[in-house]
Amino acid sequence: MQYNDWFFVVIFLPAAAALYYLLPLRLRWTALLVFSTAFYLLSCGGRILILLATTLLVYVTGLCLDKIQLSFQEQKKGLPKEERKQLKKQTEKKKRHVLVFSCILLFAILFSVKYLNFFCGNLNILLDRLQIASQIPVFHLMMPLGVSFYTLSAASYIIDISRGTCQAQRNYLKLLLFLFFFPVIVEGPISRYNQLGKQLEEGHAFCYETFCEGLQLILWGLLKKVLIADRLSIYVRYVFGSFEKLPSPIIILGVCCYTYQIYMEFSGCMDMVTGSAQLFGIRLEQNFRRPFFSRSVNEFWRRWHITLGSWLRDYIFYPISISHPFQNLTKQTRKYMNPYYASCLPMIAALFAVWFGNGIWHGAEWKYIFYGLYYYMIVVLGMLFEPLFVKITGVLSISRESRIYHGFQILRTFCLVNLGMLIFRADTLTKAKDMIFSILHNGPAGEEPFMQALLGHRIGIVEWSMFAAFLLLVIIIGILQEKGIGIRKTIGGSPLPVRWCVYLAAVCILAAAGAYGPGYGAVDFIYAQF
Amino acid sequence: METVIKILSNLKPGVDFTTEKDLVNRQILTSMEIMLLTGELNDAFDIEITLPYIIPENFSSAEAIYDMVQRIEEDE
Amino acid sequence: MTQTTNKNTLLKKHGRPVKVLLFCLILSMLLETLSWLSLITLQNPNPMADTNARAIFDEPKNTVDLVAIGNSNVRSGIIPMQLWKDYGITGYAWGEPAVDPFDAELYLKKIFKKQSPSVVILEASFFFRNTTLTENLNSRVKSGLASICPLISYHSTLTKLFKYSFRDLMQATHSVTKGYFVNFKAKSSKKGKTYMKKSSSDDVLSPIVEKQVLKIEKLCKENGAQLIITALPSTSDWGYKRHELTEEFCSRNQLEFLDMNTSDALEAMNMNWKNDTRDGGTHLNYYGASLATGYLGQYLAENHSMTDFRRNAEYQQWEEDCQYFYNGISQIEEGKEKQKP
Repeated sequence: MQYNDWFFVVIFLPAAAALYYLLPLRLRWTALLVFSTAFYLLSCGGRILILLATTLLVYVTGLCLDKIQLSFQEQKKGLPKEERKQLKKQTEKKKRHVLVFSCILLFAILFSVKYLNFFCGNLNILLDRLQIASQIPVFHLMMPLGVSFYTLSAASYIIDISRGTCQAQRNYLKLLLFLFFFPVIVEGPISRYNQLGKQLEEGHAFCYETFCEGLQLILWGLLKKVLIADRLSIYVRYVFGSFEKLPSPIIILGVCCYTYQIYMEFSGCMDMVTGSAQLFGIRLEQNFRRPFFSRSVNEFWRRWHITLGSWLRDYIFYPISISHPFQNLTKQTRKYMNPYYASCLPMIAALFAVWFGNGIWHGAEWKYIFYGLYYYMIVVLGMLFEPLFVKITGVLSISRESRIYHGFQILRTFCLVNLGMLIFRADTLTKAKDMIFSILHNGPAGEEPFMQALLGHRIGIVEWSMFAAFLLLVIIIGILQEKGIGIRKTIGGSPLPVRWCVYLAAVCILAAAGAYGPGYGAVDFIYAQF
Repeated sequence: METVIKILSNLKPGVDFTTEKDLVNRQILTSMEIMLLTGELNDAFDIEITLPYIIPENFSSAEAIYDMVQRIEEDE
Repeated sequence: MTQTTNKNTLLKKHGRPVKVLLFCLILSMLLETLSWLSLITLQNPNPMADTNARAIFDEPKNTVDLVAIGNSNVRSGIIPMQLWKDYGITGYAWGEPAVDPFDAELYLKKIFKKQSPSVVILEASFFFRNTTLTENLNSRVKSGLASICPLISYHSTLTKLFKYSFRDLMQATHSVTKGYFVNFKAKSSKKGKTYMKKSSSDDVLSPIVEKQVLKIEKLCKENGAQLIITALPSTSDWGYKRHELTEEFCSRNQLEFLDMNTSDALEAMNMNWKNDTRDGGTHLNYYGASLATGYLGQYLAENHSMTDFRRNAEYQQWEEDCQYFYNGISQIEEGKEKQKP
């Protein structure tokens, strides 16, 4: 089931909201449980067993870790400081064993449903190259819905318990609800137990304002997805499918369109999801913060798919870079080399893990791994050349805080991101390479004339103007939000006729110009596959 | 406290760390700088900042950082 | 003075529900207006260039004797005017892109309000459009909504609006093709020989679809029409498994089933997958459609005694339309001849 399905918007969501508010406060979480189960069963049927097993694993792990901590607190009473320290060390060790064991199991499940085919396939190629006749059979396991998202949430839950920043949940069903709450199961945001878990358990009283805000968000998200993204996908498919014969500007346009599409789609989905959760009075974490105003690739990733970035930061980057060996390494190397570079060392190592993780999280394909490493390269080069940049701008007496320089940085980031998107969207890594080659060599006139390539493929002047107008709207809203003006508050605070006109126009445009129906129906959410 | 401010100023010149109260959310300290900072703090105070301490609240201001350092010292 | 304060407190007390209600009222009025606009604007202004299934509602009462209903395969594969020319059958090809069984029932109900056909042909390729429960639920909801607000069944209405002038919008509609979509393009299909061979495929006939088809059958019976399930020739929308599933379903429920994809049928109509399809095997072009229609006509003549209306003076308009249609066809064919060197 998708969040822009008629069934979801018209029947499922209202029914869930109705049941939620009909139940007494104490029981409201069960409404969410029932509807989340229905959502999951409708979407992927029997594969729910994998989810149930994963939940059981983290549930038991959570209780175990809790028990270890409790017994430590019991025992440490009255012990002298030295022994207490000793005991603490032992406890930490025990906890680590439990944690490592279940993390391995947890990611083994993810590996077997998502990466096993890729792994076996590549191993077979290798065996073939080595001229070994035996081949590993390739399994066709079906991926359960949202496995990449809920596995990360599950991991964060047990790690947080072991770190002592989160309490274990004693009710299996409540934990299950946290992992497969229907608005977040398909595309995230990747939630943390501390943030979402409590909100799900406690019943929320009906609040008219929050409810309306939720509806507005859903509407806005639908506009992004149905009006823009699904239509753009037609053109993007065309450009990525036949770039060999197209003029270079059209290919570049196609790549930009893809960036536009995926942004509209992913952030649109997040709006729908956040809005849906708000109908129940639940606030989800922000996943996008106007990423295209970023002045560096680093900043881009702090504003784009924020919850994935912060997950990788908290559970991969910090643990590696702050670990003993790396801290010692910095101390040692600092004696011999420039302290700036010395302190970069652990970061470079930790970042590799982060970006490799980021790449492979998106899918079991070489292009995704390359996609991650592409960003790794940019980030590391940026870090190493930072002193040089400072020098150059100093010599040229360019102010790094001037508006023009900021504009240049934003444009630079945009170009780098688009190149990344090209790799991301291309069918294979080779295709991506060919496509870059085509951009450089096809020139302003390809085999297909420019105008025909622009207008001849189900996207005419009307559609292009619609894309441009919407883009302008998104940019204006973005600038206002950057300046701290809440656009929804502004509309909400305006006089009733203005307010209503905006809402009515939005619904009518959606119904009249949305790209649904034949030829459009099959546009799945891109991130739902991950 | 002065040591903390000195370390911070070395790390990120041009910011008035005595008054800034929202270092993390305003992205003055990014994950990389936090990582560097922990190294420096470990050296300067002879402590070990472990993972549970690395949360935004502990790095939101110079005061918060100093608070955290003291808590770790007591704990050890 | 007191009255106004009373009013104010009243509005404050009940303001919210009133506001919500008012908002919904205005919204539904707007949507209905847009629906009405979409209905009149999307009718066919040019009787030869495009078809519009909905022009059936503009036919005089109780004149259409055969309705073929289904997705775009129907409007590309059945030429009602050929049936008129050869057998005097007044038929209408009601095919809209991506229709599903729920839409079909909805539109059939509407058609029965004005027409009383003796035969209804249901094209089966849309049985396999929705396979999962969610997809079916989704179609169900959509067609239900479309019956209240037709706007949504005209996908991307707004962008189409720009193609019409005001005069076009106001013209009365009358389809001489009777729903058929004239197309002369040819693109050969590679699967012509293999698509009906026994092979494994993951096609399933959803129980929801089965139930829906039976509902349609009941509806036809109630309106005195005989239902025939058919599958028009298509190498990508049909296959061995689909044939088997439909066959089994039809025999289980005593439904009449005519598969035009069997090797016997294809041979009888002399289908050539090189020249007779317009898009590599999904839809038939004019030549393919005339072959399939010929086969269908013969089948109807042999198995159903349908009335010949050619001598009936009341059906003069059909004769005129038929002439207009075939004039148009020969003009297009001549034009094509001229283009050839």
